[in-house]
Amino acid sequence: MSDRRDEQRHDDDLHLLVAAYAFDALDEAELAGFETHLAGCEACRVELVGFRETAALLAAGVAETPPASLRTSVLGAVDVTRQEPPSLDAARARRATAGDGTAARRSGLRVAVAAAVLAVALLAAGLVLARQRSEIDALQEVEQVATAPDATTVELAGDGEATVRVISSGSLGQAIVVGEGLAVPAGDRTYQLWTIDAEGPRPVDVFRPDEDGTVEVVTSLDLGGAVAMGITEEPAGGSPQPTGDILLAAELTA
Amino acid sequence: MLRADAGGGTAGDVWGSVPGRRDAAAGTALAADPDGALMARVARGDQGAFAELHDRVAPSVYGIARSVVRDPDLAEEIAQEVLLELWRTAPRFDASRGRVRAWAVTMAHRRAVDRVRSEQAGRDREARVATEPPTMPESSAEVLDALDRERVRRALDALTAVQREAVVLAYFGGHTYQEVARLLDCPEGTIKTRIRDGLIRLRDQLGVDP
Repeated sequence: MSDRRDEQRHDDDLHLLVAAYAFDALDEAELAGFETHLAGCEACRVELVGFRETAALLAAGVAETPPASLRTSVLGAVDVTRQEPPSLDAARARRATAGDGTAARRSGLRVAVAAAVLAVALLAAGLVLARQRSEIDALQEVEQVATAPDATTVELAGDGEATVRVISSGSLGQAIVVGEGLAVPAGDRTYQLWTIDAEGPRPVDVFRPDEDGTVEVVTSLDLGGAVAMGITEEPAGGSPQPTGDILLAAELTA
Repeated sequence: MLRADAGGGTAGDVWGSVPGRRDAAAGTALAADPDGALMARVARGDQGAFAELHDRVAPSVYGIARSVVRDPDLAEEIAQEVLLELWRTAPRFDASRGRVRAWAVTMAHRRAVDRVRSEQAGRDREARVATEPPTMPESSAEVLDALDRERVRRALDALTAVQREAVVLAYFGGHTYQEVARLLDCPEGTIKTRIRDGLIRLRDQLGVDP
């Protein structure tokens, strides 16, 4: 019993430290112990959020116009600093609340699929991801492209059942290639995606579908002055110029 | 260095050590974040939106760093780190954990405190503060809504003198509560309580949902 009372008293003491913690006013000796307590104490975590918001308002009381050099250096650094890929939680939360500006629109095809919605469908379907990357990295790349403000979707079609969608973001210079119903090529063959501009076809990337005919890969893509996209079958590793027939294609209208 | 993550810390450090924090934040029913929409655009790599967000939060970030470290160059360095971190980690920002401004200010305060406590400057500063009565530093940001400033001042005025003293030394001065106790020649337990009571009253005064 007395152990329990001691423990209770110890916890009460720790609860009292939330305010000091929110002010970064705990010393090294107490910090680790308090953070351990915080991890298991919801009441303290709830209180901490309110205290931190309060502290942020207090900071407005000492707000000061920073030197102009701060803005110059920060915005200059931003230009050359890559952002971290979104965590899946954050991307989902954003999709749930935003939903604007992510709709795919490329006139001519007008595949009015919101890239964000598509990403959810992809995740739900549990499509097999590029094997050379860890699954989580690939998912994050997919999310990043799919939720980019300038994401556009192009649907390539051919004579058969196979469809391939290319969701691309010019600002990221990346695209997701998602296909289904694709015939699995012979072992020494591969599919190759091309953009076609005034000067002819340019190779984008090669990909092979899984056993079930689906594919999902992230690749670099610059649509530049492209007027069309096409997919051919090529020898493994791809070709500098297409050697096979165009199996699937889509026109692009700027 | 007082913290394992001092200096090299990332954005995640501020909340990162607290598992289950999403639930905690969700329970507080925070009003909509005025910087939320801007942050969503920054998260998608929009540099124009970031410039706008920068201008909104930089005065508070720089101001709180300056308040703690005093040295303007060091404050600028801290502000730069925090603001760049805001850009870098924007795609991972989770609005359910609190507002953008609170995130940035929390980071700035923590880093400022880490700097002063890890340096000789910290001790010199302590000696100097001991001979000066604690006051809230004057704000000089033209961009800052005078209403905000007035509101903070009124909220601080609503504290008892001893609460205000403890809050100002701990938060604006960046002292541990033990240091505050020494500076004011009070028992540590008393200071702990004053900081807590003061912060609760400030929270209520400033209209933050508990």
